[in-house]
Amino acid sequence: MKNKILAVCFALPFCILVGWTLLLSWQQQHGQEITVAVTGYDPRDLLSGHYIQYQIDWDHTDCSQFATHQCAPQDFCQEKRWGRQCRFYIPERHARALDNLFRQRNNEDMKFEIVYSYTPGRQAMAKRLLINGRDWWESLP
Amino acid sequence: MSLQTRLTRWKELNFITQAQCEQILTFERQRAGQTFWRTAFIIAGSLIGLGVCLLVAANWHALGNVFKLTGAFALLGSAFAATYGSITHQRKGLTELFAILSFLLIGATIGLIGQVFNLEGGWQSFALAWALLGLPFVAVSRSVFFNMGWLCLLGSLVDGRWWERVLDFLWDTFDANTITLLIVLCLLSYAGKQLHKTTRPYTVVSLAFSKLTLWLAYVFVWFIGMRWGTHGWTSHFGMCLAATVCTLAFFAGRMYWALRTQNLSSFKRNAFCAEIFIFILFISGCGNLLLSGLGFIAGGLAVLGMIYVFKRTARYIKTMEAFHEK
Repeated sequence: MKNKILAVCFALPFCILVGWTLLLSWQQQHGQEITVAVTGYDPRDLLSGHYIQYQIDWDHTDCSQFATHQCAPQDFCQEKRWGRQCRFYIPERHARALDNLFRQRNNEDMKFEIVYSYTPGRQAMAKRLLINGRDWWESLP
Repeated sequence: MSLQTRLTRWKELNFITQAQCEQILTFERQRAGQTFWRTAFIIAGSLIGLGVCLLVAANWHALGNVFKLTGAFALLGSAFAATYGSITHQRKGLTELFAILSFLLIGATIGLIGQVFNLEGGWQSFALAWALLGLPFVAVSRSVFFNMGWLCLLGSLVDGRWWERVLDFLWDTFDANTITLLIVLCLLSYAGKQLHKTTRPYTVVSLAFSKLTLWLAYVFVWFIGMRWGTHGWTSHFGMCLAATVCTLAFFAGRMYWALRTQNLSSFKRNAFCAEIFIFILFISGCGNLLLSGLGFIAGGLAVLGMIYVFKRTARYIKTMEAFHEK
């Protein structure tokens, strides 16, 4: 009996993590794709490897992509919300090159965008980073 | 003396027969062979494992998300199964090893999931998920340090701004609140120790809590002593005096408690802390030549007095039967 309880206690975290991963995966694949313009990021993270940190530029985002033709910033990451940041993880070795590209974006007229998987009423999930409409790695030198 | 020489001598003294002698030699030869192979397997296994880890790390960017997640879950499942197996086979050392490994892997897997799905939660969300999911492994561990680590992880959930307020409160002034906080820490430590007496067969988290709060009390006392006891005697004489008395009273209290519980190492540790504090106190100077001179004389006399008391106490301790038995 004691061993069964122990097995259940050990299996529970495993099942929760697997379930969470499957849920996130399903949500990412079945949500509507919304492309938003982004500004300002910082590719540093002590915890999870390199990521970019950005803010969504709602003024330059096409809100007609949403079913209601109105942007829904409350479902997207917000800098002001406690403990939440807009992040997109990138391989460590490309962080510097991407950082340089972003710093030069105004000079070279580059547009940075993030494609989100969006389900109304749920937190949107970042899927892809686009530079001038193409995946970010295609623009790297 | 080699085994062969010892066996020959035992045979001469008729402690063992020739047959027993041969049995012992055969057993020792087999054991030596097993030890060799076991060591070889451990070294080879560690090298291969390390090599695989490095290969994976070198090609991390080239691995697909599905592969990364599958690998992480396979490792996690193996570590969980190994922990369970070591508990059911009553291998205490392995249980500790696999429990800690499982706990670390849970954190790594949460981090990986966050990375793969670009999740936006901060450290607090991560630490909360890690602490809760890792709880079963903390509960089965008998390592006090591991439990303390888990408590620190829980402590990191507190908003950093709150800690800033605590630091401001400590930094700005020394008053009755500071002493109350110190007493509360000591009482919490005592409560944790008492709780451990009843929960000892099941978990060591209460003992870890007790130790952690006691360490915090020490850090706090040192902070009080260094911040208020060694500076500003001319401008804040009363506050500096109270802080010095408070710091020394804490060490004296701990020494008294160590005597009561017959804990010689704790007594030595606290006496050493008190001596260091007095030393720092009078080398830090007292603002002007007169006060510095008086401080040096008072400090020197205090050190002499303390050494005298310590020697007497040490002699007293040495005569106690309990220490002779230890």
